[in-house]
Amino acid sequence: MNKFNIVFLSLIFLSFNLFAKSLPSDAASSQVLRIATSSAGENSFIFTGLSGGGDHQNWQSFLWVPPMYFDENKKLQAGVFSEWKSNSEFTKWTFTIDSRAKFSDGSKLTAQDAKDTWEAMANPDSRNGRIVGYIGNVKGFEAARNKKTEKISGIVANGSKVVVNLNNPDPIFHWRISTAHMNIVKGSQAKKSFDYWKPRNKPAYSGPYMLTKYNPDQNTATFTPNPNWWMDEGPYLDKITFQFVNDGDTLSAMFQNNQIDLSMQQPSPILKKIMPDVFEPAPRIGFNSFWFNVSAKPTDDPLVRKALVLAVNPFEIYKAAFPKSQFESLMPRQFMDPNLQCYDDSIVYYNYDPDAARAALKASSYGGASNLPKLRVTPRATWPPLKRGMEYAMEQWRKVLGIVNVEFKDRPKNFGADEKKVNVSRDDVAARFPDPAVYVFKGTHSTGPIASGSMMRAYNNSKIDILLDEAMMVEPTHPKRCALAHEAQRLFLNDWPMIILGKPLESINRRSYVKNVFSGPDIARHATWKIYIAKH
Amino acid sequence: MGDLKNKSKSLRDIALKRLLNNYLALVGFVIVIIFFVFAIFGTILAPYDFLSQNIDRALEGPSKDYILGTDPMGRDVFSRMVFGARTAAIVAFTTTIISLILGVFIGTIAGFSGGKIDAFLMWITDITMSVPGLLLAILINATIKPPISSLFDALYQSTENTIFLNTYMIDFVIVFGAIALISWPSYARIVRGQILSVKQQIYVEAAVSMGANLTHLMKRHLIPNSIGPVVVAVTQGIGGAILLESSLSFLGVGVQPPNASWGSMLSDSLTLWRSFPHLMIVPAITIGIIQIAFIFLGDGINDALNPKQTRR
Amino acid sequence: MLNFIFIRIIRWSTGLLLVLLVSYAMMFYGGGDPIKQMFLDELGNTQYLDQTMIDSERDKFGLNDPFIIQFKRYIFNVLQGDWGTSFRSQRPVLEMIKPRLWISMQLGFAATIVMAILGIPLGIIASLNHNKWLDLSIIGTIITLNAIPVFVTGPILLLFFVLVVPIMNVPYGWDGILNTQVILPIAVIVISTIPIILRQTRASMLEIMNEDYVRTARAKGLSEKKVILKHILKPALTPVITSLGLVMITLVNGALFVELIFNIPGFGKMSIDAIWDVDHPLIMSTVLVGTLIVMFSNLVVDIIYFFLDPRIADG
Repeated sequence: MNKFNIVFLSLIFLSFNLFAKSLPSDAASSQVLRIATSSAGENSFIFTGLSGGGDHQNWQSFLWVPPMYFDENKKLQAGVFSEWKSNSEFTKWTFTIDSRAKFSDGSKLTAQDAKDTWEAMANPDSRNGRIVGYIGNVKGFEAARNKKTEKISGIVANGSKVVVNLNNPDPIFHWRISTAHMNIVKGSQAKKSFDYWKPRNKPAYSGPYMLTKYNPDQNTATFTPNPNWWMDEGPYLDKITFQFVNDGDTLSAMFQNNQIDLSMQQPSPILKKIMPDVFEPAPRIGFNSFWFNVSAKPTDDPLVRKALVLAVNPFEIYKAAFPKSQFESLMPRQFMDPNLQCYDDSIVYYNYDPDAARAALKASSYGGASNLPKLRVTPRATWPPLKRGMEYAMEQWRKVLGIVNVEFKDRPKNFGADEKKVNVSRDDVAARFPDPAVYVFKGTHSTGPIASGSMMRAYNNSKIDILLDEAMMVEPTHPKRCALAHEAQRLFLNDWPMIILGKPLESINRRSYVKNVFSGPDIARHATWKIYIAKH
Repeated sequence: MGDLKNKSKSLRDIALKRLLNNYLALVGFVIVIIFFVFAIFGTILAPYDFLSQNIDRALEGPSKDYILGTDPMGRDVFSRMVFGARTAAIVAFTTTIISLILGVFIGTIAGFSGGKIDAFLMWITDITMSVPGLLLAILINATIKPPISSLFDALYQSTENTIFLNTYMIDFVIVFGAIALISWPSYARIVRGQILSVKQQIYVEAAVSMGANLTHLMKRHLIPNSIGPVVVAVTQGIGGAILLESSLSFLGVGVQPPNASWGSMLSDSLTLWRSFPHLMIVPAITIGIIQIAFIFLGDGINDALNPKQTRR
Repeated sequence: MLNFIFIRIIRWSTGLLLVLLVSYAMMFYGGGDPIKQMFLDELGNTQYLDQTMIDSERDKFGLNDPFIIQFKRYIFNVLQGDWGTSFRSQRPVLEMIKPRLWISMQLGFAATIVMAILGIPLGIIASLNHNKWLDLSIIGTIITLNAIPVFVTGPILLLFFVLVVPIMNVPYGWDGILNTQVILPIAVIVISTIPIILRQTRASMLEIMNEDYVRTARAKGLSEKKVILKHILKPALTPVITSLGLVMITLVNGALFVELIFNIPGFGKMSIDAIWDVDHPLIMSTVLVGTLIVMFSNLVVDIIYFFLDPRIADG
């Protein structure tokens, strides 16, 4: 062995170690993660990165890094954007791209990519419905949305800086885009074709893993590590296998039989009893309620709504929907979510009061159950807990108020032409970031999804609107924002708008040896580069 | 003529005697009778109102208070099963009677008319048989049911007749009526087959006796001969209809809450049965027993009316 | 002979056209806007529903044209080999159907063979011991297994063989017909369909056994075995064979519960998903394929009977 050989061999040995990922000390020898998700429709097994939501939001975070993200402690973390600031009027936001950021094909991730990606999302052909909620306020968005142009004038790409100009001031614009829905893909590819993500088109990824195998007929896929990963840590896994599975019971059986390590959707409740270590509550914001249609008879009468609400026992509807033996859940007593920082548990929306309920019905414009027009109700899903909640309510209305003229359908569309007359429907108000004002806005503002959409169909309380419009302009950390949100909630609850169902805690659903699987209010597992398999 | 009458009477007696000796068929018969008793008088026999909930006693196994346990809403499973018998009976009747009437009607016309009309009707029959029933029911539920529901509502608005208000009936009429509309081919074929075979015999007889009343002879031979296969087909059809209702409920089509059906109880149990098996076992076994009962009864009737097969 | 086939093809083709017309009409006049429903299902709330997006997609799929034009265009395209693009997955429908149909056919074929191997002998044994305990117990067991809905026996058996007696993994996907994970799905299919074969064999045997010519053969002094083999089996089994064929065909369309429970990406599951998703092109194609299969099998049966019994040729 001469000196030259020794030096040469040492260099090789050294470089080998430098480029090897430094696995955590308790890592297992086999780093293969087996993921399964239950199917909400075979045809949603896609990996586009552009369509902003649906089931695929759950796994896109393995392939691309979002601009920023809220971690499991609800703190904002840098993603592809390392810095963010706004002008004093909150109309111009500047984001700086991390100098290290690059794609799996080696090219640098630039501001132009951000601009191109968001413009591709705005194009209706990408089938991205939620984008309006994220960047609808950006100058020039309308024109792009109406396909008049492919560019959004309000987004300016300046080297490594992305400047976004807004139509109206928004102090939390940077929070809105901190979600996996807004991940940045390679712009030139996305603009060329919306099928860019299929492996045969060799897409470029900014995340820790890449999609290397995809079988839409079998609903299986495989991820492998990104050789050009740019963050300091990870990726630790050698391979991730992905499989669509039909239902919650099968998911549970697969966990029990050691066939999967992580599940994107909730397995059936039996698993919590048999393998409690799989269950780790994820801090979501939002829960399901039954909302009243204020434009359809008879729920247009607030006294009728009051009667329907007070006839329901909040403790029982919650038990009926989410039996203790099956679910770990919370029982929210107000509209605000317990995970929001200014949640005030002294506020109670209502208590069960059958006498007051009967009195309210008597005092209403119908005078009693016999004159009441037909009530149309739907839990808007086939998930049994929601159905149970609705059945419980229907029985209470019959028992306490004597109402029997109720028509139940699984989904609103089954009412056909009468869909607009549905009186009671179900939805959740979810927030992907922890801001009480935006959360209350979504539920109570006349332009929000609940009030203006198919839940309440044109609920309009101008006092609430004024309060919330003001709150939108307040800095996120200022206590005034919370106070205004609370006042708006108080006025809202006085209008008897909903019946609260309950909040079953969602779990992250991973075996205890799968480490660093995090989930925050954004639902998607974040910081996926940290995931590894420990010895077990 | 009188001779003929006596002959058929004793054939009937023999058939009945044979039926009564077939133990399986008897058991089936008894079960079917019990089923219908519960279906008709159910609400009187049930210990609890099938609607009344008691959340505190939810998801309990069989006990002194609740013979078959309670469901997730605290409703008595036994009482709901009894109500479900009514649902099952209505489903079975709706589909069977509609398809029987349609099938016999079409089969008779086809058999008697012959020629082009017969060919056309057989064409319709074959097409109808080739449509997969389950998929058709789901398709109808997804497409036609909403507009028809609205139609019923509009009819109520204009006539104020509460029959249009009954959502229970609307579910049945639309979905199970649809099933009935595609189940008639088997009855049509049986009837037509009988007519054709009798026709063959008639021509021979007519050639011999010259001038005897064709229709009268058809009636004399046709009805006794076709009752057998039709009855067997009906018993099989009823069992099949009940199974079909449970399949449709599993797929989310059919009876809606708070009405109970065995099928919807089964599909509601699918996420809970691992912790509360009684919720699945009770409706599943009941459906199974009723199926078996109808099959044994049908087989027994068939054996009784076709003595050739059992003479050994 | 050719005339015979030709007439039948005309008959079935016009029938198929009628079925397609009725299905298309149901979807057109019934279900509401499928594109809107598709986005609504995904987005969950009407507020995110973007009319621009909906309109542009509707145009892409030609949904704004009147019924006759849409239907004519559909038939025209189908005859040229373009079966449309699925609304949801945006993949060509033909490309989606082919692998799934193949899987269902394999499953159906394998199940039919198992049914023949098990069902026919059992049916013969039962008929030879008519009304004795062997007959009754065979019939009883089979009927009981069959009477309980398949979507109950399926999950129970699945969990039993995965967790209680751990001899297999939860099956998912499809690894080919020779993979051991198809054993349980095929077993479930067989359990729910074998009664047809078994009872038909038994009934057929019983009917032939008591025919006069058989009794004559016995009276002549032939051994029982010879009587069975020569005179009974062949005529008794002929209708059973055709039944088997028909059963196999319906399995392609109808094994959907098994596909759902065992995660098999087959044709039945795709048809149900298509209807639930209100995916027009996919629904039409599953109706087309399903009906085509039934019609084709009927044609084949007609031809077989033509050779077996020329008297029927005037049908």
